[in-house]
Amino acid sequence: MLRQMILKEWKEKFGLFLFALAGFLFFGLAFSAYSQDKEALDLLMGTMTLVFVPILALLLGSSGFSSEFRDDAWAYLFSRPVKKWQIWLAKYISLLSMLVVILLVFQLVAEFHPAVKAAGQTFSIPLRFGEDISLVVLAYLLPLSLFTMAFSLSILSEKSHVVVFLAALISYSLHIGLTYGYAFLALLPSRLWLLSSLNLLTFVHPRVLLTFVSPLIPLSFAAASILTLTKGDFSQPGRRARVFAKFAAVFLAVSLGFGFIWTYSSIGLRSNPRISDIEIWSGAAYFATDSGIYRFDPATGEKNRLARSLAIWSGIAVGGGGKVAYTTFSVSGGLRAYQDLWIIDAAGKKPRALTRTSRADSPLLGAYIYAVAMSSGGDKVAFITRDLTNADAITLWSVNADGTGLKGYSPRWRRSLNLRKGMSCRILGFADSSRSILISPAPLGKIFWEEGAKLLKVNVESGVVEVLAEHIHGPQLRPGEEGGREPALIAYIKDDRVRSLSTLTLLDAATLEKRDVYEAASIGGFRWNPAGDKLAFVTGKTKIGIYSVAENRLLELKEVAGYDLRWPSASLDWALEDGVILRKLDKGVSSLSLLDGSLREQKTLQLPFSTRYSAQVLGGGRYAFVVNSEKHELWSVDLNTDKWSRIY
Amino acid sequence: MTEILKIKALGKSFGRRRVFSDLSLSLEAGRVYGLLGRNGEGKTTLIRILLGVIPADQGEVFYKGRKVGFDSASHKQEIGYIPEDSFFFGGMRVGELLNFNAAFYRSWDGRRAAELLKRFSLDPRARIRTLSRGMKLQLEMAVALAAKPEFLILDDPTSGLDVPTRYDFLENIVRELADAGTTVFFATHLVHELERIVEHVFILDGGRLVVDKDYHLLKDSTRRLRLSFESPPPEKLGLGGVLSERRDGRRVELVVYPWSEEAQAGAQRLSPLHMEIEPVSLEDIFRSFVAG
Repeated sequence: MLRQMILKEWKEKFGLFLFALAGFLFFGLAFSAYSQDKEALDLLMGTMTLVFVPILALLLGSSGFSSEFRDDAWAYLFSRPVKKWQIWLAKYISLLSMLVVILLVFQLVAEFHPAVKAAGQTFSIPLRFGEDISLVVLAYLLPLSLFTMAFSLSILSEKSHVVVFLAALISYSLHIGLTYGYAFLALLPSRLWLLSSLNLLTFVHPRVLLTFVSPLIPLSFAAASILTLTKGDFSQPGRRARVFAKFAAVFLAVSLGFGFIWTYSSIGLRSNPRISDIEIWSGAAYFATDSGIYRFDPATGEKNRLARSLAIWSGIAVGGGGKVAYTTFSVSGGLRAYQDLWIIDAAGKKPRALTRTSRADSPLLGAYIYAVAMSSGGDKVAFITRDLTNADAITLWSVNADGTGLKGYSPRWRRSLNLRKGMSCRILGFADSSRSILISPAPLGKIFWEEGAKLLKVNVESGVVEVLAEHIHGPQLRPGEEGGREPALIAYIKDDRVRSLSTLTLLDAATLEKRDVYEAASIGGFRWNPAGDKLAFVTGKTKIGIYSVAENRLLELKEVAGYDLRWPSASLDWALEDGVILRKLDKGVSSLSLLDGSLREQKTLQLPFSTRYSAQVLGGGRYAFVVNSEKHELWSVDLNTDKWSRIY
Repeated sequence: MTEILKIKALGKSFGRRRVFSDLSLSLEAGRVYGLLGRNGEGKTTLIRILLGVIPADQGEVFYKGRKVGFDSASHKQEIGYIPEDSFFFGGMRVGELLNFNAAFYRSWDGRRAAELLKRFSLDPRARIRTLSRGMKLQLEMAVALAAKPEFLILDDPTSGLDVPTRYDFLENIVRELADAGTTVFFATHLVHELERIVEHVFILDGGRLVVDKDYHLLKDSTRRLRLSFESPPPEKLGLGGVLSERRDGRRVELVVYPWSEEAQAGAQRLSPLHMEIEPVSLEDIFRSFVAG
């Protein structure tokens, strides 16, 4: 029966298959025509991956049973001597086989078309908290999910366009709800703790949502579709839809419940609210969680909650004297949530709102703040906003720490630099005695640590923008000191796509003098030491180098085996006087290793917790800090006594 | 005789409209059954329930003594079905439809299918959408018969066909099947066609089964009575079992069921000028039961 069903479906939907082939041919030609234009390639890749293939999947899925209703052939099909779930499955597999062939064609295009291949290797979509999902996940999981959803819903209507619309609407609503719903749950009053606890589901890694919970949604609809087929009355659309809705609600509840149980069992019922950001400043750890902002001084063992703050999206910025700038939400004017920027001192005193986004007379009315940086002297704060009602309105702001001198830079630099919506932008900090702001916008659809970013200097007083560097990634300003330090030295990785080379480069933001530090086929990342005179970097996946800024030479370059160097910004840091700490993963056991200035391993300390995720390590002089991102814990270790303490 | 199908207290509604309720009937193997009813009386609905195409609201269906549900499938191996409309997948060719169906039936007889195509002069390469209504019916027949069914359900298949095609279908094919021992369940509103082949009659009216009788017994015990009077006939004739009554001046025409000697004596007691007693056709019986 399956073979005959496959033949039937292929014959009936062959036109759609030809349309898909024609589409890929068109995209292939377009990729060839724009092979030198990186932005155009990204746009084409985005259109093909996020629009064309999903639409094909929706059309294919929606044609499942809709066409049988349209031709009144459903009664004929259901009168055959076979169970209805078998008909469902046979049709599903038949159409899936067509989708798989379409995706294989897509894969072939991606493999053998040089421009598509090149675009595919770097293409990714920014997802919550900067997590990215790879092309593979997007290209396959998304169409499969949409196809299953549309096929499941096709039992409800003979009108394919209604099914396509419904499937897209439900899929995207549920995914968006799951991905972003936590922020709204966090705003609920404490007496609604049960609802607020749903928030926990979204604490898990976004990839878990994508790979585990997300497929459960279309699968829930598929199960509801099969049961409706075996229980529902197909001669009565209203009754059929009610039966479907009932089953879908039950299966969705079971799926999400399963997701919750899985989440609770993996992170524990008494798990902490999520740690969203951490910075080490003068040996103390400042960290933001969904329940507030904390400061921990390992020397005294004191932990203070500086501020209560919910749903911190934009992280924290720590500056002069340990001041902390952070964003928080408030609800006013009915149920509308507003995000504001606050500053508080190291003792948790003198909180001050630097913005009033709910005020009608504020230039920041309704703005969404998504990047915050503080001058090293702590006297100025810079941030970027996006107006929720106009995503194109991206503005860079600076404000004095006392709340005065709010100034926005929008029109000139946006027009001249072609900064567009969706562009991810990071503020590195201030330069020129806080007269300039250093920013690094990533190209459309990219996040700042990927290649292709720019480095810009915006003069706060004149509004003049200078392009300091292009085609770079991962820029970091030299660590600040009390009262600031001039000139501002920036390290970044320059990408040469033609020669397939990366270069670790130093740039003086005042004199614009550049210095190439190290060139290699790949440079994974680097960290400044707290004194700002050395750089530790990862190259070739297993090599570590140490560069002295003052001596302008490589002090060490060594192959180090057995360390987990995949994300240097989370696995490599400086500690003690001139030591380096590295994350180690050996046979499933996570450890922290301390290496001396000559990159010789001094000791390895097993982490006091087990985790399936990579723990972030940070150095802070005599102490090292480790974030358990699975259970949202923060640990510190005294590198002299090897004593671990749980801070949070 | 073996009971092949039994329906107990079956009920079905579409929204607020009750199609039928408490419907019970029983079919014996090897006989030809006619299900009569006006359009919209629920003949197709009943057949779709029997075939598991739609679910019943209440009641039970037994096939060969085994209860079958909405999603039961194995009993349909033995059931052939010729629907009212051509539900075929229009894009398919004749041969492809046969291959498609062959995959569903264990007892599929490919040789018989080829013979039937030849007999009906159907080209296996012809697209179904290009076939005439009569050719589609023949194709439906070929599909149903190639599966060698023990029980054949026909849902008003001849409506819309020309007379010679209808005649050929009923006289040759259905008769042939009936002679071969296949149980035939024929639903139609074109009643006179059934007369030549039917052995047992069900009549659906107002959501109820008003007749469940052996056709010959039914026919033998139903009579048309024509009475003429010298003066206007009495308003109440006082006869039992009158299914329909038509008056035209001094003349009265009645259909009486059950007909008996007592009924005849009763008619004579009315002292008519003339009295004619005639046998009735199935169509007359049907009309009398459903129209009154």
